[in-house]
Amino acid sequence: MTNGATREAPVVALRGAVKRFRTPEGAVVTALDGVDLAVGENEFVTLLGPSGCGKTTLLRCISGFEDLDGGDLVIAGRAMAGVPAHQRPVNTVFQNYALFPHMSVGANVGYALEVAGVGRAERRRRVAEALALVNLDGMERRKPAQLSGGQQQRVALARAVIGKPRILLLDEPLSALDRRLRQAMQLELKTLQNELGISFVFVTHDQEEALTMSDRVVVMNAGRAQQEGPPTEVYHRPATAFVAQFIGESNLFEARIAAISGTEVRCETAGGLVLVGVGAGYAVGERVVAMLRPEVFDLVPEGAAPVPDSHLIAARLEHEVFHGADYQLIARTETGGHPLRAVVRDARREALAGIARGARVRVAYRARRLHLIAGSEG
Amino acid sequence: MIGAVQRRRRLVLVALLAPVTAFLGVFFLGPLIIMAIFSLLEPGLYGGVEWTFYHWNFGRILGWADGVIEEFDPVYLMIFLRSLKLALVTVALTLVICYPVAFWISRLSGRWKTFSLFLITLPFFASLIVRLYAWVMILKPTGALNQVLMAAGIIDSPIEIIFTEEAVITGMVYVTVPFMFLPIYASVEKLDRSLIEASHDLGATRIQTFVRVILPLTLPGIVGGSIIVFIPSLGNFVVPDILGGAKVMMIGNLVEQQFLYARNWPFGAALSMIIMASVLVIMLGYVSLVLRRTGDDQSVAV
Repeated sequence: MTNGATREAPVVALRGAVKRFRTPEGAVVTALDGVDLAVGENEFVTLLGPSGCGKTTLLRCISGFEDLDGGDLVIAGRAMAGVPAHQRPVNTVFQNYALFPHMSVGANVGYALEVAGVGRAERRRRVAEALALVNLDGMERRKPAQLSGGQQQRVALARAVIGKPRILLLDEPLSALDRRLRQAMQLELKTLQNELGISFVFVTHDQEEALTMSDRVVVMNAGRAQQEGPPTEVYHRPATAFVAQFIGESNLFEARIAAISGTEVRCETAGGLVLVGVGAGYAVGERVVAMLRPEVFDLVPEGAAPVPDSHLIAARLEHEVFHGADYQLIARTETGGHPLRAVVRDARREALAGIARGARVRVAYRARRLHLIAGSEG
Repeated sequence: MIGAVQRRRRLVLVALLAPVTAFLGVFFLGPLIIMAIFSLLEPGLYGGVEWTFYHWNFGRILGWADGVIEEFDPVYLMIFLRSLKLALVTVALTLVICYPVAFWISRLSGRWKTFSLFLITLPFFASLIVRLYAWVMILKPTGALNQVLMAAGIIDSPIEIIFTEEAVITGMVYVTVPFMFLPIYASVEKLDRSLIEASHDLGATRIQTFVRVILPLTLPGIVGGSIIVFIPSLGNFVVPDILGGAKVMMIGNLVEQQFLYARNWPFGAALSMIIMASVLVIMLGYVSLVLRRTGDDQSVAV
């Protein structure tokens, strides 16, 4: 829904961003290797990737803490080359919050207004507003050290949005919070973003966070954007094997296209396991990576018939791990001996009581749930 | 049960504090009390003291005297004010030298950082007297400084530096720089760089960031360094003795003279008492001023 606006007037437009660092040993590390990024008005974009993939560097280049070695950056229609951090219409929520320890909460939140020369009365009013926005009404006089981690997080948020930036950058802001608080904050952040109408660029290595909150996810690895798209697309149709592995659990099979009939594509692994998917534009003999998410499988008892239109894989059970709501079965396929993970609802597992380690299990999947990653380097 | 545990804890505390308490009691508090008493006694004819109450020691310095045996002489106050001036200039100069250097060193990578810190403590490996005589060699009319300046054509004839206030300040700054540096460095090193970035990010210029964030957060180091430079500078007598000669006398030299040469112990003791009292007053004033300005009750650890 926000994509239409994105294409017309991006708030942030980054083209061909290159950033290199020199290590103390003298080697040159390329942190950003030609990254393009466009963030639309009121859009929530997440940069997702493992540590060292360049996502934080990208953020620091937008905020102005680092200069680009190549490419150009335009924010709100203005080229940012040579514009120092304090003149950019961008604010940041830091990973460690970076609250000023010698100032009260009120002084922290009002800092942007104070340095901009906003008068005391208006400052006080807007600080109260900003604190109310993050549910910290009346906390002006406290010192940051007197607050809990979650409260400090909110102060950092209030401080960053009080100056009404065009873009808010968030550098793994939830990583220091415990799981329950993190989930609550994810929802709050999303709500806050809608209320404020500010574009958010959120950096995380946590795929769950990325999928939960974002309008669009940019998956990064080794200084490059591997894929960008809405969370569902990135999850269900990963463009590379890296994305498939990094986001969620997946079973990946290196295979060759064996036969094509209509939209049905059959591929075969080196071990002889035949997998059936749906797609177009493939050629027989082409190398692909076939992906099956663990949750697409249905456990089929011995002797029972699978659901029509689904395909069976027989495997030997190696481990089963109880996760509460579901079981994870770790098995090895009978044909080809590929490792296979399947997630089965606890309720379904009951029906199969008695299946022990080493037993034969049969799982079924629908062809349209099989995703083929073309020409992947693996 | 709880009583026993508490009593045990108290015993451990007493045992741990006893040695230092005894040491300070014997070697610090004892002499201090003797000094305080002596400062109110009559000087003996050939040194030592007569055990009669005698407040003219303070009168000579502060302005009351009987006009018969003891004369009020403003020279003592002049010497005291000069010492105060030299000590304050020393504090100011060491601060100006150490503050930027502390930032620079804190940004160095690990190996260079350790090496720089080692260099700063290096002077302690040589005797103070030897190092000060090295300064005599540098500053004297035929010394290294004058020869370099003359060879470079900057001056025609040697400038007189040795045995001036400037020479004394040079020496005192040289001696006290490590004492200013270390506390400042400790607070600069502790300063979280992301706070500086946060300040820029929120729209503050470099100057605003310095005044609102960097300075308040490094203030404990500045205050600590100032105090431990100011106190020994005010009472210093070695540096003015060697680099100031007879021309630049500081209050420390005066005390030294009274005890070692004039053998007027009560007068020397009275001078010492006045130094201590003024240091105390100045420090209390300084710290409370800093506290009020920052409005922070935890920033100063003295």
